Amino acid sequence: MSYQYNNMNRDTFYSHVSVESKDDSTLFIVRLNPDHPIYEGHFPGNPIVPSVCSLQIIKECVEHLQNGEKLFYRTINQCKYHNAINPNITPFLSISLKIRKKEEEGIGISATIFHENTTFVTLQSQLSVKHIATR
Amino acid sequence: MIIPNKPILQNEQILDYIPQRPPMFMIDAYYGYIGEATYSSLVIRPDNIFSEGDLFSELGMLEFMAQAGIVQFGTLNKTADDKTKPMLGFICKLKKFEIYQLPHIGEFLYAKVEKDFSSAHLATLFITAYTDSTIMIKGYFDVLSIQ
Repeated sequence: MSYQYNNMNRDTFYSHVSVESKDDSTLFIVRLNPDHPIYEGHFPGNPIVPSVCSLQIIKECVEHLQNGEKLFYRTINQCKYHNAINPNITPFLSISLKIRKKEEEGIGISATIFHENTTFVTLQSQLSVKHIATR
Repeated sequence: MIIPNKPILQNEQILDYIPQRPPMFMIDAYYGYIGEATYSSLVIRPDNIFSEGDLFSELGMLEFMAQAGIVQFGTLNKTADDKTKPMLGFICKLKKFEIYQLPHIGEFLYAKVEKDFSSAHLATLFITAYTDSTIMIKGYFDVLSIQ
């Protein structure tokens, strides 16, 4: 599994290395692509994973557990950015994911992005399996 | 919702206030304060990296809102004739976000940024993103100075 940002299909932003489920949580390992053109703008000469892209990675991990079903963030109770992620310094990331509850209205999750002893992102949110209504 | 129409900063002028550059640059116009809030806008183009099909993703809206917040943060306590560098900030926390809808390609997306709290190096901003008449997403950002 990998994610290709729209209009940037020539380059993959990240790719999955492994997925392992244990008890009520799943651990994903992903490898970032430090040459992705997104880093030309975030930031020039100082590549940092955009915070919203870390949310995209987490969302795709949940979608993987939902057999690839497309999901949308419905609520973000809290998301903390503890440290910046430089893809050259930390090309491998671990994502620990817990599904807190599945309801008709959505899927509650807790997730942490980390590498070894460094925590980058912690998230509590709800995603929906339904398409967000549009006009 | 207010539809602002007199920008005080447009396109490249905004680059002085935020560190993001294309393809991550997500603001077309900044309108400054109208009442207690500042306003920014973005026309959603099909070649935006957060466009998916005929819709703009919720993560694209979050990035637009974050940059709208950082522009306001950078202009705090800064007058028009102040030539010093604006204060750059980064988003350290998102809180209490609710996402209602996704906007379509071609629509104008506006951000209303209200200051909930601010000190010398930290601000909590309540930001609402909307199209002509419909709220798409709202929530709180904590912005921390990096200078």
